[in-house]
Amino acid sequence: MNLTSDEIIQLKQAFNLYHLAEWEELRRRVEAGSFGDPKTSLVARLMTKSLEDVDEHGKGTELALCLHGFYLYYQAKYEESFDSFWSAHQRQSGWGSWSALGLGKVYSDLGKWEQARLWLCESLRLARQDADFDRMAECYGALGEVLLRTQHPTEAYELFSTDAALLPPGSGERLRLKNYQALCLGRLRKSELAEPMLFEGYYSAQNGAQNAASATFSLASLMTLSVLHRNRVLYERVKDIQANNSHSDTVESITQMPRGIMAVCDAAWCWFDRDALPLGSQQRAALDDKGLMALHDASQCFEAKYPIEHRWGVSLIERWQEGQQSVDSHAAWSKLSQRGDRPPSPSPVSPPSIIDRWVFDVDLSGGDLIQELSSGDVSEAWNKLRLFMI
Amino acid sequence: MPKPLIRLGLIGLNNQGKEHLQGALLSKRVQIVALCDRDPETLEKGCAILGDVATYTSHSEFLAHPQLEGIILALPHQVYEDIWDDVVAVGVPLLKEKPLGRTLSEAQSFLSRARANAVPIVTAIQRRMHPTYVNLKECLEGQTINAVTAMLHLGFDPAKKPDNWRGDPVRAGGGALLDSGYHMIDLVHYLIGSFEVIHANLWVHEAPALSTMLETDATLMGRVGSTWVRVESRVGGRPDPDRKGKFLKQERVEVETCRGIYTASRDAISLNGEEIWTSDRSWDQSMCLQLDHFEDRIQEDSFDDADVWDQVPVMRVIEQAYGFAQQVGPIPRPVGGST
Repeated sequence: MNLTSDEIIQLKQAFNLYHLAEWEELRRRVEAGSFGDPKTSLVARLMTKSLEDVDEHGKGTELALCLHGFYLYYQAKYEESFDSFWSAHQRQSGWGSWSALGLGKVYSDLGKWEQARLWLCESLRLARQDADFDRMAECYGALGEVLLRTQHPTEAYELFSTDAALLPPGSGERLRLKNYQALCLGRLRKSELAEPMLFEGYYSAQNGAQNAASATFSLASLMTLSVLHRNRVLYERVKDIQANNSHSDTVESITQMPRGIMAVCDAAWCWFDRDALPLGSQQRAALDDKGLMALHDASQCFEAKYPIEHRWGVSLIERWQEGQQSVDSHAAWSKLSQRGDRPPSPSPVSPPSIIDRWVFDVDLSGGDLIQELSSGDVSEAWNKLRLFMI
Repeated sequence: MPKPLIRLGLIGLNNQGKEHLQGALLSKRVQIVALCDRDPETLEKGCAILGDVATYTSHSEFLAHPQLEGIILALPHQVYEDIWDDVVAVGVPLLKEKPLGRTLSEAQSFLSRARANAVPIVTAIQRRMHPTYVNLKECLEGQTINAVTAMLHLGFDPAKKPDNWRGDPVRAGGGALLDSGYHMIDLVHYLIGSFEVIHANLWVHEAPALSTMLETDATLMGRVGSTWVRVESRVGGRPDPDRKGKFLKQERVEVETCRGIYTASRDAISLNGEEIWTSDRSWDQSMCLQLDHFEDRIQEDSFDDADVWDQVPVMRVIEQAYGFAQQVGPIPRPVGGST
């Protein structure tokens, strides 16, 4: 496949939409013909074609493989996505930072923190060489996610701040990063800083059509804080906002994650409340029903694109109803865990830049995502909301 | 015939002032003839180190000492503004401890008032005179530099607020960034030239520093051309594994070049892990060299604008870094420069 320079530019544009998870926007542009005839354009073909359709020796192949990798990644087809990124990376044709970023994000989603960090730092090293600020920003953000999910909020905050600093002025990503920074502050129990940031994020996002999705993310982050800090006042405030929100959710697919998380938070508050009620009481039974219904809603939100979150939701229902997980559930967790074990498990050869070496000083050894999510009873489970990125 | 010793006065005899006294003892080119500190006990201790020397508790009497050919200023940050006009009115060259000012505007104000009195200023930055860093700079000559990191951890307990002027944001003008961070930012300037700040984070323990607080931790990322910079300055540092509740004092500069990675601490330089230079880590020699350098300038009347203007980009970096950090908190930084 020999690509023209126009096609490479189109691929880059498409890639940027992919890596910002603007999947719907990309689909809209493809259908509107922004990338040429929707039936024949390269971008449109790569959105749907399989890996074998890509010529192994053509110019721009690595980029095309990356794009394909992200297409698969955002459908949670991690194994195929990994193969596409790895294939791209092996070609070493100057797009290494893009493919390494993809590999890092796949590992990160699967909770393979050490591998994620290795690849994201490799992507950062290559992007730094190319002065590719977009990729650098993306890497810092992705590393921030890894460190936040492994309970290093101070370091994560620094990474998200750096991500924000590298964004071009006016970038819509800034609101998302504010949410992340606020989550870090929340983990540091600085509610007096975190909550205003999230409310500010919510109201400023709500006022702009382009940032509509961010408003939902802000609310989900606030709800998470309410659960983690057992802050009922905050929870009720967010519920009031939700109830009075006339804003229609026009970006439903993007907000599946925050809507799922909010449903989990609703379930959590049902659990807290029913725990205070006597066994066998009607009120308790009603809260059981309400909580389980919320968990079913959450699982539905997660089902299409978030396999780990989905599995967690399903297992919470089991644990709530039966007090333990089923054999099938244990098997499903085990299968999920294996998805990140890619034989052979390649690692970058070059050490990270000295600029980013501090990220390697952070001890990630304690956190195994799958193990943490799959263990414990329901009463402990709500605190595990800290393991998710919203 | 040997040149006569240059006669200097030293005002401010706390930590940094004492370092200057030690440097003066080693120097064969300068003589400290007058000491000033408003605390008689501190003054007495300084006198005990130096021997025969005039002592003053009043800065105006000190500045009237008839033999002063230059003045070393090692005072708390907030004191300069009050005495600056008196100091520059003496009309002799000044060796002023860093920072040049608490803010960029204060630094610029000091410079312009000194210039109006035709008084040359040299900023005292001892790392520029330390043999290890001088040698590192020589090692880097002609090399492509990809990245520089500079780290200074003071090893103090960050939870313990200083009970002197350093514990007051207005008087100190800043925390870890302005204090120890200044040294490392200046050192990076010395090694590679000026750079632009991309981002900075300031913390008080585990919370972002709002502008009314004194930051205990500061990290900064910058860039010039294809060279990336990271500076890390902490009041504490990493926990000391051998002493519970204590922190490790650490200082390190790393430079990634086309030849590999140079790592320098005050006592050694290594290239790709192989030691290529060792030195005495103490400050005595560099403090002495700093005074000798000052003496040279006075003897030859050869003050170079670069001696002091070189500090303005450092102040600018610090100002930018505080600006980034303020994005967290709504309150402006409390200290303003004199107008």
